[in-house]
Amino acid sequence: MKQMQWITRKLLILCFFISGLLSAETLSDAGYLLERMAASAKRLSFQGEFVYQQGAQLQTLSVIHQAEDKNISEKERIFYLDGAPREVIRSGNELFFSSYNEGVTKFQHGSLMPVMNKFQSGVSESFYDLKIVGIDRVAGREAVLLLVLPKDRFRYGYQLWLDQESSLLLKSVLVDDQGKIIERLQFTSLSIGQLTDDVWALLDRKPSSVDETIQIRSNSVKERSEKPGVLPEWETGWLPAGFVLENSTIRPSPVSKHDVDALIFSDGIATFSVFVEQDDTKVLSQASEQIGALSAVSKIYREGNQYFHVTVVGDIPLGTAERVAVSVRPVKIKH
Amino acid sequence: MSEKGSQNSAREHLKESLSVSLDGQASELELRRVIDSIGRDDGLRALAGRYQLIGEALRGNNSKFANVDISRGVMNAIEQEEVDITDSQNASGAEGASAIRPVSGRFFEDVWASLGKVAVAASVAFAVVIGVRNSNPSPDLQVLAENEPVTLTQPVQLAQTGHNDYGALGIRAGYNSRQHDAITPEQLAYAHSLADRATRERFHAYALQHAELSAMGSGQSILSFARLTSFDNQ
Repeated sequence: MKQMQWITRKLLILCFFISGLLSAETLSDAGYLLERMAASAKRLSFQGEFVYQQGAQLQTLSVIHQAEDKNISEKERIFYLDGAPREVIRSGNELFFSSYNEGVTKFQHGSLMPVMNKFQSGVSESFYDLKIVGIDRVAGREAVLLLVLPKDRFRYGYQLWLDQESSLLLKSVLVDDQGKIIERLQFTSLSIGQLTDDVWALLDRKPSSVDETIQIRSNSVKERSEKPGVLPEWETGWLPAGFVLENSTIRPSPVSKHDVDALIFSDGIATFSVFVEQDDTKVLSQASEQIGALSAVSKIYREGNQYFHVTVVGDIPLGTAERVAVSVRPVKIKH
Repeated sequence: MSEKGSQNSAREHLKESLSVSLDGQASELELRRVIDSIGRDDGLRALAGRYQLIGEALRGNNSKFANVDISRGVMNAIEQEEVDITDSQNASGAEGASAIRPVSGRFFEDVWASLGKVAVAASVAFAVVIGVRNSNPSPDLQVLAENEPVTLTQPVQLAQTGHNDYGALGIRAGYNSRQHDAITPEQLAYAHSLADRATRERFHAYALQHAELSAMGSGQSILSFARLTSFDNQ
């Protein structure tokens, strides 16, 4: 009987959304849902477990998220439940990545990064078709299924299941331009609301020691450009339409003694980063790799006697990453 | 047996492992042990540089630096090895006036120092050691090294990019079978596998950086960090 009621209710809601599809308001509804999804992920406290599938690999992870409050900064802990123990703790402008094999890395921002222009209605809709296509059930919760289909081949498409009540992301499927599934993320359990003291304590448990601290400076500081011999700033000569530079930082390279320029771009849905560092080795050549949703491309840029390693990493097709990588160049100072 | 004796024995064993590694004959475990040690042992690192120079000299002028007096370079390098290390640390950016002396010393210093944060960096050096030592650039390649300071440790070639508006120029590092007709396919495959591993480690390191950037910028950590598991499973 209960099941019948649920199905009836589901059908009613489905009819409501199908009728919605026919109205001119549909796109803005979908855009609104995306915005709400992004906002909920920040303003709600929740905990749950989810699976992440890529190819034949399936991993289970858990997450605890504490919303920002008057006296508390936003906190989050992601724990990898399979394989070697790893965890991520994010608190304010700090992020710790602890790995059983590689130790603890602390990312320390000088200030909070500006919030990216992500999932904003109007931004995404110029480059993606957004459609609400129905109601489903994920992790025991009713969910709205939203299609995010790219208008060109420079980005991937998404199927998103958003919690009907809160708009939190319950399930995400990434598809390529052939409709092939690249990755799947799905909550298996989720509870939204005030965290218990025990859970809260887990969030507060920062690593007791840190093996490597990465101090991140904003690239808006122009001091270095005034010093002779200092590395140039970098830009992309080509970007897929809709991608904009969201943030630019300078950080110590994870693979060399030099600093690396790190730029992050987003079209409101997808993001990719460009890393540029001086290359002393003259050893590594160009390379590319696609693992699941992530494409990674490295190229060498030569400027006189100096060589630079350009690395592009992001959830974009490999072809897009390649085109971006070869277009990276130093900003020419205009006098 | 005294503790000192035991340490000496361990060190001798490490030197043997280093030699075997440079010959491309080390087991995975042995290579890993050398890699781990060489990153923190200045003496062993210096020894690796010396072995490489001596190896190049013994192999005669079949390296890409065939047009320079390798034997003189060996002598200079061995005599001034300590000086080289200090110089290369202090004078970053200043290209050496001598066309010979800094080749191997600087090469190792550069590689170890610049990639020292990841253990796999040592693999890169080994890959290069193995890959470069008999490299013989084909005449049809436009080898930049001809007009470049000898800090270039690989024959490189500007990629045929044609006319475009893009800023980057692809440069091939020289792992080309035509350039390696004097080394065995096994050695070349070994060099390839080490270079591939180094590239994977590099991508892995930057995938973490990207996840961090993405998470801190958007507040959306879950997908960003879940994706790192893909790299872990490679």
